[in-house]
Amino acid sequence: MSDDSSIKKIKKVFQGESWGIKEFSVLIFAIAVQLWDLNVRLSGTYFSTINYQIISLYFSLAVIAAIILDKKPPFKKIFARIGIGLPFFQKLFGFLLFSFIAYCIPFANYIFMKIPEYGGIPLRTITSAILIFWPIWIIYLAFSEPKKLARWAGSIYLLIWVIILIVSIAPLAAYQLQDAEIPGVMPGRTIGSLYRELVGGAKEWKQTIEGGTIGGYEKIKKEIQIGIEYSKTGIDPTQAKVDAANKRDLGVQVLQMKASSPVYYENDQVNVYAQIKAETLEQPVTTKVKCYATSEPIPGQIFPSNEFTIETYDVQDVDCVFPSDNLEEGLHTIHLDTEFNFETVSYFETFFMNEETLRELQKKKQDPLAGYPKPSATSSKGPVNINIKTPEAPIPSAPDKRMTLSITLHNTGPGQIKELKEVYIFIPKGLGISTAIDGRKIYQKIECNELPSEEAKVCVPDTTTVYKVSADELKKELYKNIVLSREFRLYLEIQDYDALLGESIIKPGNIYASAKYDYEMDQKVQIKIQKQPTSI
Amino acid sequence: MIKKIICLTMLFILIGCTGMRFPKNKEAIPVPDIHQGTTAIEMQYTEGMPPKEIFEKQLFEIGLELQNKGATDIQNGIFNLAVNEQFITLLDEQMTRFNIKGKSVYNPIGGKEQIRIKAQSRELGRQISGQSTTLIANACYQYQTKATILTCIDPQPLKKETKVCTVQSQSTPQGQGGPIAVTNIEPKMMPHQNPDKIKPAYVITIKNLGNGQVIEPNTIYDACTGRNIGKENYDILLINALLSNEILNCEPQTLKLRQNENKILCESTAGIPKTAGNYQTPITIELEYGYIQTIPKTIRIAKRTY
Repeated sequence: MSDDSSIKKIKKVFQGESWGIKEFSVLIFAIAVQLWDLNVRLSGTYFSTINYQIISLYFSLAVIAAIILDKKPPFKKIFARIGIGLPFFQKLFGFLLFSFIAYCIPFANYIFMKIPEYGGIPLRTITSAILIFWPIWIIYLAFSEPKKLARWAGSIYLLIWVIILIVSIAPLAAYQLQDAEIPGVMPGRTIGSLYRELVGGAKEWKQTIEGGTIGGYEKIKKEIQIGIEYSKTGIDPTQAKVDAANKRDLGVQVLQMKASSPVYYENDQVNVYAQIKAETLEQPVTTKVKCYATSEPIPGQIFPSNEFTIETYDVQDVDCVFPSDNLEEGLHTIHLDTEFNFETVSYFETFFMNEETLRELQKKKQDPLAGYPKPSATSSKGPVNINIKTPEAPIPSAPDKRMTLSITLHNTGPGQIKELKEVYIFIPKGLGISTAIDGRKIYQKIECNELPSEEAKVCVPDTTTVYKVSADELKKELYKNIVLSREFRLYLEIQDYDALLGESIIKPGNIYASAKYDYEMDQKVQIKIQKQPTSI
Repeated sequence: MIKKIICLTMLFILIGCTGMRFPKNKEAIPVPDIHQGTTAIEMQYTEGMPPKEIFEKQLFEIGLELQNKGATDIQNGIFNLAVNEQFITLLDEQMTRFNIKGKSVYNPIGGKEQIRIKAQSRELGRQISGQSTTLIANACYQYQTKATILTCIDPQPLKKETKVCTVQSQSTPQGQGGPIAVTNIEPKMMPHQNPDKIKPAYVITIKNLGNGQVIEPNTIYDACTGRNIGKENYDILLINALLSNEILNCEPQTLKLRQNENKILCESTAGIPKTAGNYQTPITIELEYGYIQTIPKTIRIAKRTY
């Protein structure tokens, strides 16, 4: 008798009536898919658009779930309304939609990658944890019409997920705790501090939105503006690859601009301070600093000095001081303007090939550059990126052959190119500005010995032709206060074929561009001046 | 009797010592088939010459190893090296001539030559830590592919009898010791104007199985030095074919390689008497051409201090 009941119990289990073997099996498969997805997409090309391996796994999961499960499918009503009446297909489409959402969730995080920090909270840290680990399939299988095994297994998984979520936020908490100078880290304090910081962060958001457009919002605005500008001007937004081997961050950066207090009383002295880091390889950089409050505008005083020159690397602490009673009650935006001279250079090695030989290879659909590196410009580090574009390599070469060379200066820093001072363009000997379109007013041919000493070092008279963008041209408004980019287009022709190709069928040739400019950055911080509290 | 026993014992000992080996069939020493393969010159940079990274203003050597893996000797081949003169100065001549023997029964791996060119990197501009640049080595030479294939002659193909061989197409994709190869021969027994004879004809398929460029053999100097040689001189092969000792009439005799596979028709003008019977005979196809190969190598020039 007891044997019979045991058999019945086992039967029940395997029929999935009480334990939910079927749900549990699908859940285990879903967890495996989820973990594999995380492993593949987090460890490698995380945001790569299409990963067929993962897609096929999610697809299989949906199909298996549709075949095995008897649960009420998601979005059933929607599919019924659009005429999908068969329960199997309702299940299949519902589960496929589930899989699609599960696959797409990590992409949502890309939006937050663009906004690394907003109101002091690194959004990425939290959203990464929520969005990437969001186990949509597991939640559904464990908690929609739950069965014993699936519910337990799903709960364990979700518990792990919550722990991971907390661990992901922990660096933020630790950072905030460090800032709050709490000695040691205790769990209670960590959670308490985390709570306070999150609430404080939310308040900061509110204050930021109320107080005007600062920080993150301006970043978004700038991104949108850049997008619109590029589409309007038609300038290619492609940038040169940056000299990655150089581990230094060349240029000037304003680090940690802060007010000594977010709120002051009317008779308080207002102190805003920042660290200015300047780094260069060889060119000396002179940095000028000024500060002001926009509300009036009222200039602040800079301490210790409003101008300093560095040869290689230096970090300067700069304070901007507004004496007491200088600023009235209300919100004030304090600006710290940093201006410095800088130079960016860019190299582009391409290949020139006898046109006749090239055409013959192309006729037979042979790749003339099989085994060759794909030519691309390399720009030095700094706030400006110089991209160089030529016709597709190998450039067909024949006497009098014409081609267009484009040199684009992209502003990649947080400020603007205040003024372009000098621009030099080196092209291989044999090439020259075409007489078809007179560009002599813009580009002046000069000899190597007419160059400044640093440029002259890399100029080889036998192999290089040098052009300089004329001083008159650079005085134009077009080359001032460049927020986005400025493009130079050179119309060239092969004037001496033998000099260009020498005694070769195919030859590498170099284009070099150098730009000297003044760069300006404007960093802001918001403070609030309150009325002195009246003593009772 | 004792003498006989001693003699027999001695005989057994002698036989035992020699191992009683009687030659069965003499094993033939294998003769290497030198007319095989699809490579002529195999060109590669010598390991570490130049190294992957050099510093600015540094003297270094560029080394190349040229091996003739084909079956033709190269006379007066041209080698030249192209560099980006903004970054590298060649201290030796950019161009040099070379002669390398091809594979033979005495040297089945082919001849080799090493080329060394001294160079110096130039100073780099400021603000940049280094720059990659590509060296391009070119080799241009005259070459010949000689394909000898046994073919079947059947003057009376319709006659039903036991035949020595069958007329059928033969595929030879493995090459004949040169980058240009005869990849297929399709024999056809055509009617001759003399009704007592037949005219063997062959559709020969030719392919460039290498990765170089074919040019007319007499234009290699101009082509290798970047001069225009005229469109008509690209992808040109000169063809000669012999059936046994008879020169076949090939149409066209100068073939322009237009596609991946190119076909020519070679036929015997003299014809074969129908009474000659069914037999095998070699067809020899000689292809003459100029060949250009290039090989790049990218190196990085790093700044001395950054």
